[in-house]
Amino acid sequence: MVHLVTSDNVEFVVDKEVVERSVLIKNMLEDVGETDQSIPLANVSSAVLRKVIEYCEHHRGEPLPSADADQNQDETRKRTTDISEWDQKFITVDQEMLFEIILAANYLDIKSLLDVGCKTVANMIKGKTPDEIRRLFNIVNDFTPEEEAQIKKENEWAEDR
Amino acid sequence: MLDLDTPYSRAALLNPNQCAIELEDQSINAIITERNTERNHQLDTVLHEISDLEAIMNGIQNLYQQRVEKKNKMIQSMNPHMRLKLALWRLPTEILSYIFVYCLPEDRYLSPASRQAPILLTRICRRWREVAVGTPSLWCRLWVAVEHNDWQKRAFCYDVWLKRTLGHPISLALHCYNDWNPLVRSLLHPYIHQISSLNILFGQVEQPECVFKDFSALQELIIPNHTTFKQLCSFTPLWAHLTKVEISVYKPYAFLRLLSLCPNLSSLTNYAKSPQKTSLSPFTHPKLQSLRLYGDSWSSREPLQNMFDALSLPNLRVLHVWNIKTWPHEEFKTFLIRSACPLESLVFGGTVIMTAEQQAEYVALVPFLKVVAWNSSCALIRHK
Repeated sequence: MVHLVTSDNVEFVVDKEVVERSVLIKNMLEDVGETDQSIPLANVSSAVLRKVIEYCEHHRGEPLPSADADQNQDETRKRTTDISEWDQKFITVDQEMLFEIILAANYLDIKSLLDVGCKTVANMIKGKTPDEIRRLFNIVNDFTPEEEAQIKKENEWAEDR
Repeated sequence: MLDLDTPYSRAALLNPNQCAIELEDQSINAIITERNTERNHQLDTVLHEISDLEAIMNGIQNLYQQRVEKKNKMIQSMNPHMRLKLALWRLPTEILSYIFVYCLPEDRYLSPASRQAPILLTRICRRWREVAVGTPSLWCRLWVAVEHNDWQKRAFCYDVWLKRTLGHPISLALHCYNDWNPLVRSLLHPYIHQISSLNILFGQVEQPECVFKDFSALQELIIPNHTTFKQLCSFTPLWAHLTKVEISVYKPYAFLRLLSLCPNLSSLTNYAKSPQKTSLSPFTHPKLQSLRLYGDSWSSREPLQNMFDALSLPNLRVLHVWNIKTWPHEEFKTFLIRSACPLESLVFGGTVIMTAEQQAEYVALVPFLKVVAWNSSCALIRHK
């Protein structure tokens, strides 16, 4: 079992096989060997870690994506945003928690969870107008009138398409 | 309150006619002058007071406006700091960029559209624009339709798009109509050495070498049209460095001609329609690893036997066959023996029928071979 301590000082005791879905923790454990000492996770709160552990529990035993698979993935080719049914239910959380999960997945190096989070955000963006996207994510339109004119000019032919 | 009434004005209110009679003995002019002077004086005073009040009110209004603006500025200056607390604004650039790649349409090539990623992402706010413009993989696959209609605007838009590839390899679909040569050359000139994959369709071109001689980085060529292949096959430098080709070549001798043009080819996909039965000279391609042959279930008459009779592919690892009506079992066996290839995967589907006994014979010849039957949904994905 592995002891993890979150930013709000909550301790979690997690099965090694589960927690090793995090490449960061896996590498730590390989470096330090068997230990009873807690691993501090300064960037992850208890609420977020609880969700991350839930994800890792569900995907326990599945093969981890290899570094080669990453390299072989052709960046310029299409990427599907399909998400499995369980993952979709899992990631149906409020927006703040969604981004916190993405940040935690990035920090803990859990690629499959990072993918689920990023695909979810992408699916929220797709098909919306700029105003709808700004409203959805509380983004302020901070373009100057000159920048707006520049954007309009460069997209003149692509407008309404 | 100022009393503005006079005996005359009161009388006028009671009876205007009586007023006129009483006034007969007086100098009307004198009264008017006297009263007007007095009223003018009073009016000046009031106007002065109004003016003073207006100045005070304007001052208050200005003060109010200043306070409202100050409040708005304070709120505005607080918003970015409040936003910084939100996780969205703490996402590192590389994660935002990663999300943006998932926002792209799933088409193989993208046509500029302001309502879709990647252009949509440049229209939200400065940070998103900066991240989107600085992520070359968002801009590396482009569909260019070359036609005279609106060409200046189109070309400007394509150029803005291509600039954002920042020197990275480009996958380009180029579908051209009449007189396309000069338009294309001028548009693509700055990016010609970045184009690693080209999907090209055109009716006619004079001197193809003028257009294609500079595609120095080209590795993948996709030609969906047989006429285009006929136009280009005489220009051998284009083919020499290709490692991947997708094409529609109808006749077996043209298929072998293609293989001979591309000595470095490792992957070939052919969408053949009606292969004719012809006798072919033997041909060996030492580097080809992946061969995908797609027929047409409606028009295929003759099987692949003459191609399997002529070809040797000693490095072949993957073979896909789809919609070939009559599977040439004996010829394929001979092909496997002759090629002595390390075939790992034989995938068949559509109208291809391969019996279990036939499959067992192939595995006996190539022990690590996996034979897979495709279902129709896979086929649809492949043909997309």
